[in-house]
Amino acid sequence: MRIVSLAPSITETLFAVGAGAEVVAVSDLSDFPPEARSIERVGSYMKPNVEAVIAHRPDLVIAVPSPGNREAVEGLMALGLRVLVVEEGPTIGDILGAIGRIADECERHDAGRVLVERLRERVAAVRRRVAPLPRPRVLMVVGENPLVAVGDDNLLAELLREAGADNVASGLGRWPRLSVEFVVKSAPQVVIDSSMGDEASADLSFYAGLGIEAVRRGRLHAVRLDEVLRPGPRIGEGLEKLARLLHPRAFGEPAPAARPAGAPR
Amino acid sequence: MSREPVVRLEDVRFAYRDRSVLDGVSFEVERGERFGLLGPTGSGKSTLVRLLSGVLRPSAGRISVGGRDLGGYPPAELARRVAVVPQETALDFPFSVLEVVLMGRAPHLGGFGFEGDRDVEAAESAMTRTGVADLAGRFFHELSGGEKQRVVIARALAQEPEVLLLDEPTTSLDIRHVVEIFELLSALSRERGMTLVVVLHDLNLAALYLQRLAFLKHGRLYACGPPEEVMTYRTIRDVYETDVYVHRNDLTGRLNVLPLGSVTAGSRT
Amino acid sequence: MRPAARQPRLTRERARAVLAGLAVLLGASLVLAAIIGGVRIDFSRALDFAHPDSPDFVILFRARLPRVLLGATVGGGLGAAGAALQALLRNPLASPDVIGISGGASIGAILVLALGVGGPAWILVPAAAFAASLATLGAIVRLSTVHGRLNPYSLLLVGVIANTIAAALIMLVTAMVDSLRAQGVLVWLTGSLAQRPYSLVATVFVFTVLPALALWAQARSLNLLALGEETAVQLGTDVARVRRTSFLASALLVGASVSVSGVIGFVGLIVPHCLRLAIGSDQRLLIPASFLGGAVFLVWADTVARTLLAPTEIPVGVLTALCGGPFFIFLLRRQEEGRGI
Repeated sequence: MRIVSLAPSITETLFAVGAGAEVVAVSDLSDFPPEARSIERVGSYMKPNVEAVIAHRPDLVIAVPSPGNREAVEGLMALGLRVLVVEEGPTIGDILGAIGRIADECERHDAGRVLVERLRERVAAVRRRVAPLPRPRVLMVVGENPLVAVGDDNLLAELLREAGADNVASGLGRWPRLSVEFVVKSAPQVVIDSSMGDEASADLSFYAGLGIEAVRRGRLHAVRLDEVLRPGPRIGEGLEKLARLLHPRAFGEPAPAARPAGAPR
Repeated sequence: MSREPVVRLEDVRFAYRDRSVLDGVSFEVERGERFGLLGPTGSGKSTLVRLLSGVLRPSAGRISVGGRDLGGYPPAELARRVAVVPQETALDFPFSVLEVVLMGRAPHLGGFGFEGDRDVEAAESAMTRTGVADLAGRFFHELSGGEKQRVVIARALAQEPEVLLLDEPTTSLDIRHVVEIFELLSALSRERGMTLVVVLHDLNLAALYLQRLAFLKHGRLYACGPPEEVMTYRTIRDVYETDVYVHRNDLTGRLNVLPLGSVTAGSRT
Repeated sequence: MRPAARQPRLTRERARAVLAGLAVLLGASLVLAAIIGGVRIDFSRALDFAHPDSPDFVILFRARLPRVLLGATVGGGLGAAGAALQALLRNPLASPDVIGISGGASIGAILVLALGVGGPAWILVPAAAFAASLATLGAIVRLSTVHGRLNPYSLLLVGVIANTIAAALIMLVTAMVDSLRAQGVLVWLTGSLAQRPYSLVATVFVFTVLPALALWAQARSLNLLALGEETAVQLGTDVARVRRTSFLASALLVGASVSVSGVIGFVGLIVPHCLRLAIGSDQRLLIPASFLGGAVFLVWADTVARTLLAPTEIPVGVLTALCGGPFFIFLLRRQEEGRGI
């Protein structure tokens, strides 16, 4: 079967269920697993290139619903191609459902069932471990200047909740744009910034001047968004990663060393 | 009247890029004289005004005011000697009449100064002289054409110049305002000995109010002298390429010019 | 609307009185804007200098005050630049954003921001914005000059085109960089005053006050320009020098404001316009009054922007454009109907 994947998360799922060899083309930014990097690209998941997709003579095209790719997806369907559109959010359950559907569609029923079962177990394990723990006040930032935080009703909000966080930006909308004043006032104990890449590339000096507890106690973390957010088979890892940041001791990590506010990396 | 030239042009040439506009013009204007520049459209009259007021520089030749070459004047000093009344003044922003007249004091003020008592006095006396003192607080752009032109003349007077250059100052006015303006100008010339250089289309007004006329054609001086001498059928026909009837007005004793068009004695049917 | 009778001329005393009044208003606005915010703070703790780590202190002095001060600086610069550009271009509808200079400046700033040019950003971004705004201004003036005269409608049209090209170039640049950077650039474009440190506020202040003073020094010559360039020359003005100085100073003002806060529209249009109706057209008062008035206006606009939907914020540029757009159309109609200026 010749499969074209129109989203990085779908590419990951295809590889995870053992259909990687059948993937003939992928969307830009499909960078995981590493083998996916050498597969031909057919445009971004927001704006796939219809002609490039057709040129690969796919038996199956898999896409995620998005306003950007609607025209392209409808165009491909009108040409008689088999196109599967899978909804991957906004809950972890939706993601597992999507993985199951993709697996079924490319005839990897058993591999899909095993993968979904394993993911479900990982999520449950995290849930069990954080359940008795006090929930720290957490701010998760996805955009800097202006500050955009994780609010409610999106995958990251659910991941935060499952990882045992008390989201300070809850109740303000899905992706609230916050004032610095609110950030100070809400006094988060942990700040997770995913707006600037990982610890190595992020410049977190902005937070140093805020005098918030998270900074004083060294609970200011930068994460790469695609590692925790991508709604594919790595979702279990992403959840564990978040939970580990929020409850380091429960996951056997050393207690974070308090570092002075604004200390350079 | 002293016989001293206040404005002097010697073989003045000017070209916009490669198009020659003035081609060797020489004349003198005496102090206190009312001098007219006439000629058809495109003959170089307005260019002469720009040259005399320092907006343009001649390509060749010499222009002097008060015996001093124009090139040697700092801009403000020239503005204290020569003031210009343009054909029309449109203001982009609402300024009061007094503010507009006070702008005439610019060449007398330092870089950032506010006007002092002396400046306000000069402006007020200029406004009184031109009959616009009552309008001081009105917005300039709300005035009628005649009022505007009197305000602009007041602004020029506030400059306290020796020479007043007027570029078709009454073109957009009706006949009553035209006469008002020229009566005012004549009075100023008599009272203050102010030199007037007027660009004009109307030959009758020129004959009525001005003492000496220069006719320009294709950038050259065609004739120069008192109206009695230069306002002849031949000169006007040659300069304007139009047949006219020149006669003496019984009431004023001045020359009058009437166009004949195609209705001449010979062509009557 | 327009006062029928008013002071027929500007005196030094009246200029002083108006400026003193506006300065007091600005002072009061700064204090009030620092007190008002989307988050309640306890002022006894906020002003407790022994505990500079308390949230109230941090909110007041680190989050709110620099923003209020930056708003005043940027608003002042835009106000003064608007007043001067209107006089310079002889067009009451001119303002940095309407004629496209702000858009041009943002291209420069964005190129530096998005392409991650190496070097100190605090000077590179303003320098790029300044260079781009100067280039845009030069191009706009050249393109809308017909037969040696600035045509007001060409000016507005060229401005529209300049803004369109700027927007397209910005989309191009953002398409070429990765999405995280691109999103930051786009959001920055909507004009915001949040999260700027004091050092940046101080830099912008210097680059705003100096050119504003340079414009003020040209004020009397700018008055004369309203009579037309030729008349200004005949009144002893060195028009070329005045234009050069004023264009440079305006470009600096726009570059400084755009580099720090993106495109905040219509401040430079509304403020000088309303002030002209209230205090007259004399640039000797209008330029400094537009500076102070622009400062007051933007401080309050930003206060609304950060409190209206608190704790969420609206970009202040969105707010000024929402008020300014209709105002601009109103002015354009008025001018079309010949009801003057």
